[in-house]
Amino acid sequence: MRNRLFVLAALTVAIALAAHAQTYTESTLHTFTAANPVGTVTVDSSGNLYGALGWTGACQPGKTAEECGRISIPGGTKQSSITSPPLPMARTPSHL
Amino acid sequence: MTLDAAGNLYGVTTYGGRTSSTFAFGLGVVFKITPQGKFSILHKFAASGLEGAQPTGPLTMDAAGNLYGTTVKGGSTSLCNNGCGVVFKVSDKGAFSVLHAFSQTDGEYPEGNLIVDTLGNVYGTTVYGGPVQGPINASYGVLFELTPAGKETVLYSFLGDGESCDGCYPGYIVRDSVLNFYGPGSTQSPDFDGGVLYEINTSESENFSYYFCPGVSGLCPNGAIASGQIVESEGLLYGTTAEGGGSDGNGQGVVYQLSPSTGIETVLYSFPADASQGREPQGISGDSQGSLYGTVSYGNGVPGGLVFKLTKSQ
Repeated sequence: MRNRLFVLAALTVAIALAAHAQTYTESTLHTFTAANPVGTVTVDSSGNLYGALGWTGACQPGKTAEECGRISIPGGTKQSSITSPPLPMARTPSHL
Repeated sequence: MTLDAAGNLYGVTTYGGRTSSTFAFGLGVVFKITPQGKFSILHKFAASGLEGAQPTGPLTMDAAGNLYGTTVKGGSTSLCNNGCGVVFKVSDKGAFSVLHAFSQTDGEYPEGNLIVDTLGNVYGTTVYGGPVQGPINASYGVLFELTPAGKETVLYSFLGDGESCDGCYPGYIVRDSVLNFYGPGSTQSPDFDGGVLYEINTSESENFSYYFCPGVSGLCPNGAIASGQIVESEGLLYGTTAEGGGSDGNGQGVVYQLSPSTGIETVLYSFPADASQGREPQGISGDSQGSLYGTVSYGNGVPGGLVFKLTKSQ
């Protein structure tokens, strides 16, 4: 079924890490305090991010963007708020 | 969320919209938000369930502005306990059609993304369905192709034997420049299911599998449980695992880079074990500068989460 099968142990990964000079720096763009982000974000050509929040805790349908949170925009020139009703819930397979 | 050139956002909600006795929380909607923030519903799924029910995956837009998506249920009333799910097409004006309703043997429960090529063919996966296999007569999901007219071809049926499987229960996929498909799946390994990233090549066979944390229980410095949206760029794959990472393997997930040509995984970032930067990253998006974006939640009943960015060093 497989022509190539790679089962690599942690040691191999460590070697690979050392071999790759390219590194990434992590930064937090925004923190939500009430709502949980769902899925990843969409990036436009200007670097704006768009995403969705699941309803939970203080963030329920009908609450404001401030209560649910915002996704910040790189560069900080403006903000895009995501409010209810487009708040998809985390999916739960219904037939399992 | 899907963006068009004019800055309109499109998405789905899994619940809400019309309700029925079968779908008491609603069958879901397809919505649009203009750059000015005006919200409108492009489509409410019919209460009969025959148009599909409970869309979950992202929408994919073709060059003409049509949107394609999936529902995990609906499409029929007699199969798969309230339907096996559908692939639907909706125009930016709301003209809706079911492109294909699954019937279990050809797929069930599509919840990942779709890929639409320049000819209008649609590619995706189903979590379940396909030919029943093994001693427990189970099915493990399929990779499918739909023509613009909705004719389905199962390109690959994931394999399992009742105790383990290989790339089964697939979700998100990407396709590279030479038309290979890649996506995260499961192994159902009785020891530890750290997940797998599979490749299905143009001859429609599973050609490559990278196993996360194979044969190990609990400590996974290179991440475990591959899931969520992945990105392909210049022959490399980028994605996340929901667990693992860190020098001791007790991290809260990783962002990884994987080379299908060499089988080498590089952990780009490990979420700290104390969950101070969240847990269970939910997939990756990329921009033209090579930066990666994603989200995490805090979990353990703590509301909230964060948006992170990984910036590539020059």
